[in-house]
Amino acid sequence: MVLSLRLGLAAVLVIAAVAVLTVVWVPPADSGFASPKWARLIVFHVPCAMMAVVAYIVSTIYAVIRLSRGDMAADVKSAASAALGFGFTVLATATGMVFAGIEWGSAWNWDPRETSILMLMIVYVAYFALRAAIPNAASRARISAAYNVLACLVMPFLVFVLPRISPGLHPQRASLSWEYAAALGGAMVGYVLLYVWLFRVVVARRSG
Amino acid sequence: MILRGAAAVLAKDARCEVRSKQAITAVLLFAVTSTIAVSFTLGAIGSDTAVAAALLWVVIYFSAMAGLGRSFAHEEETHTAGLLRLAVPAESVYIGKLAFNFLTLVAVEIVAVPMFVLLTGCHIGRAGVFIGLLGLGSLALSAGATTAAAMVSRAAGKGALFAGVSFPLLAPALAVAIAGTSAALGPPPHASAASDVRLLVYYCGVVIVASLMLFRYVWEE
Amino acid sequence: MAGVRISNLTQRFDRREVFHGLNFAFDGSCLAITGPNGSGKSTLLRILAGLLVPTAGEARLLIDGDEIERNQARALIGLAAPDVQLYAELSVKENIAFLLRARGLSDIPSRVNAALERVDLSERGGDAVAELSSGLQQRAAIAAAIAHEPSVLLLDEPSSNLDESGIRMLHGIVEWQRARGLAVIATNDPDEAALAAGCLDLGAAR
Repeated sequence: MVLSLRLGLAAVLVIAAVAVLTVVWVPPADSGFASPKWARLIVFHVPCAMMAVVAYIVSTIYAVIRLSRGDMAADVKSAASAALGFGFTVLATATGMVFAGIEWGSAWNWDPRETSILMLMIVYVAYFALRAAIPNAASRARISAAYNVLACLVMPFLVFVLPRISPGLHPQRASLSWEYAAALGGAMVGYVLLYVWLFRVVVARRSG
Repeated sequence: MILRGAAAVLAKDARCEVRSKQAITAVLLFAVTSTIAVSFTLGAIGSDTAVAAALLWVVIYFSAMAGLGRSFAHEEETHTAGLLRLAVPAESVYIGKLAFNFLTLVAVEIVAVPMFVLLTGCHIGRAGVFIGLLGLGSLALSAGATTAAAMVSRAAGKGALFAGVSFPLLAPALAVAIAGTSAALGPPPHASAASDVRLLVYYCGVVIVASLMLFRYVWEE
Repeated sequence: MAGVRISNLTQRFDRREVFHGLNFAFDGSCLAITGPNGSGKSTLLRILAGLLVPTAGEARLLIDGDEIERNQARALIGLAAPDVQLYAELSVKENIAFLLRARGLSDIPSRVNAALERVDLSERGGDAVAELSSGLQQRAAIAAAIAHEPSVLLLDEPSSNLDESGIRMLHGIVEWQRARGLAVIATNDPDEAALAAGCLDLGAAR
């Protein structure tokens, strides 16, 4: 429990430090941004979106373990990671929408990345709705794990399909100053710590 | 052996359907009414191939949602699922039900698609591509919907849950089918639908193979 | 040499525990499972049939000294139970033919007729199951369970809804099954239980 608390503290500290540094030290982006001052929002938005995907992949890995070994502990972990992933997805979408409103003039543009994160959100909602609707614990674990895996296999198709529908506003490659890169890296570390801490807390609470 | 079991399941479902007409009524009714609604309100939108393709697939998609979800729920409710579990391998159940759902969708499209084309004034530029995409897209929708139907069959609140659970699985196929169909409508020149066809084939392959491997976990108790 | 082996069987449905650490061994050709309502008779039959994977432990059927594996269950086990219903829109013959076809068996018409004869349902074989009385539906369910001539026949409250001639028919089926393999009957009826050589009382086992 003490380790958990320290981890949580570390996570919060790192994120807070990154936040302060971003405001104070990272210079506004020079070219290519409509509002250079607000461009620094991507320091929080990008790692958030990455964590949303990472959490989902972790959730799917535990789902596979649950299916192959019938291990109920794996089910708890899969659901926990999914819950956290959903949180990151919502945060990423919210920060993204704020940024999009400032940078591109409207909060939602059906850009491929925007559409992908929306799809991921729908997968999460469907996953939890499915879990909520199955009363028997063993069936719930098996069926939601199967859904998790199937959705994971289908998601990559979006990566191929969506860019053909809309050219996309997200830059393919961004040239950022090293301060930005550092802040982004720092935020990523902070989010990973936050994820690991919350994951342990949630799993401990649901297993106990 | 698996295919023989699947053929038996398909034949049984077809026979039951002919006598009860539950699934096909729901799907056909939805397809026809939504086709009429679209053409009634929008008129001859056939000239806008992108919109026409999108609306056609929306009609097909929601028709599938209206009718394909019952295939497993009905078996659970009437307690015949136990019989299936005892006598038929899981993979045969999936393939048989998939085939039945696909054929139901195709049967409905035979009525609804010409109706849609006629009422909206669509011009089918490349008939072969158009029909091919209809077939592949329907197979893709059936593949995902069959697995989703099995997943929700023992859940509460099946109807809305089925549509919600299916959507993320089917959305990529839907997008590709719409894009490809749009390229097949209207006067020449036509964009190439080759990559759309390829994507749909891969999609069907991935979903069917994955469903075959996962079905046992979904179906057995 | 037929038998049943139950070792450390535990079955939990969410908060309700049906059995805990149940152990039992039986050698013979007919076993009765008795116990009050809710003691888990139907659940145990489902586990034996391979329809339900138990929470812990195992319950196995033995034929000729060998345990029946899960992938053999389809061919070797037949089950007639209240929660395993035939397709109401199809006729009895169509139901049985479907099950035989699904199991990959050939010579279907003669097997169907043989099963119907055994349960005395030949004249009504072409009627839809929905049109039959509950007693005849019960006969149809038993016919469906024996059509593939399983080595093990599992019967859950088989004499419910049966009239006198139906009960005589049932006794004949049990005798026939005993000679060929194993019959397991879950019942509260003392006459049915008396058919068996051994008995597992789930009420006492708690």
